[in-house]
Amino acid sequence: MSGKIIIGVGDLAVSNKRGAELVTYSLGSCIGVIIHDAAACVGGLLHLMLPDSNLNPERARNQPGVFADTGLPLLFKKAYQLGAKKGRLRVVVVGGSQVMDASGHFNIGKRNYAMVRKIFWRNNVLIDKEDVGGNVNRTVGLEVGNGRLWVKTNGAEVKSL
Amino acid sequence: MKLVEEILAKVEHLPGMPAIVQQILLIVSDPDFEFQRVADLVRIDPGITADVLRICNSPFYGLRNKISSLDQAIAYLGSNQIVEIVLSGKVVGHFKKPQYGYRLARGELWRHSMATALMAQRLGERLNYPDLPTLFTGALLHDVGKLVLSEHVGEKFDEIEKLVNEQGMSFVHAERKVLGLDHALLGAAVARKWNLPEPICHAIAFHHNLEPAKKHRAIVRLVSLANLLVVNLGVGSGAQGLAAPVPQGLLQEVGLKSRDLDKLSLELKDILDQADELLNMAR
Repeated sequence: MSGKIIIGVGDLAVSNKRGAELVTYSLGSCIGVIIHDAAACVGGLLHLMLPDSNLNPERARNQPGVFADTGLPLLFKKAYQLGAKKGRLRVVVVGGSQVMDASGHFNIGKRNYAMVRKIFWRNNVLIDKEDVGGNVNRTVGLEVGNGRLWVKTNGAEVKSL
Repeated sequence: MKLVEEILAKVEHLPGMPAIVQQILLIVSDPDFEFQRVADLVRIDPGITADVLRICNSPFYGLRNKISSLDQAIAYLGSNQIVEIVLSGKVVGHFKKPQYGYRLARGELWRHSMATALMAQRLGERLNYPDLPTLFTGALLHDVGKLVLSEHVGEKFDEIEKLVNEQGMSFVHAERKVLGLDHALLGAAVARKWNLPEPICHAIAFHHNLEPAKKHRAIVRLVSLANLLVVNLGVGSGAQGLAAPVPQGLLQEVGLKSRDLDKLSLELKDILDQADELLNMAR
């Protein structure tokens, strides 16, 4: 599929089409994991919501992209199926912010980020760039053809990563 | 004229809330209300009947058979849900413009408000809140102050943003500091002008700060929690981002634990996936 591919909350997509752009909106406490293999022209984006599939194993079977521990393996697997190679992948992590909570109850963003790091560490995956935390809302896009990755913060500022 | 007075004067010039909304809210605030009275009110309005039929046939309500009359809709969905659809149809007109000051495109504030209302309703059902239509309406209107304040937030945005980014202030607190009032208190002024019931005015006024809410605390904390869950997921938060304060002791007061927030976030995802008709009414 070419053109803009919108990835919803708890979903993922991969593409090897030069003209494709993978976009996900409104990353609050959720995390967007973006992978790109320039040589194979393969890109993938996961919009995960929660860290741990133990919360709802049935949901994890039906919608693996909801959880970090089921979504991440699937994202990589699908990218490999299109020809991506682990050693060539550029990996970027965006999101994981939170509301202002002194009591620490609303810490889903932090726990999401911790889980992503843990899974990457166990699997020898290095994060090349990240834009995480704080109290902001992020929209992120990846142009598969050239690997350009942009992040829009709070509906205004756009930067490249 | 001072800025605060200028802003308050705008509330006076807002278009009124249709009388039917006030009448319905008055009827349903009695826990033993007769639904026939509501039905008789809405039956004479073809616009509302069309809204009810369109929405109750949407996937969100998962009805197996197509509904073609108001009476059928009432029989299938029950009074609470019909009241909510009717109120939404009457309120949506106010939310149809983009709110540039908050960097919210057309329909985004409605999407945020409706998601909050559906989430609050879910919380209310779980925690046995007795008056679900009032809770729903309070949640739907919790950010109504933004309709008036947007322009002023846009004008003074640099100052507000500086306080949020450099001093770690919440967006609502920064509004108050820079403009002399915030969208929550202003929203309550709007609700009073529309003669909405006091529990709704309280829910709007104190959804970011429970402390001054001496009365109607149950509705205030449910609207506050529903809003935070929606903001946390990044839905329609615009320029405010996630710089929304969590009132102290909120979760304990509601009787929930951190782990419950994960489950509620999943429920919210389902709401967002299924409630397209309601969420996109303002587009």
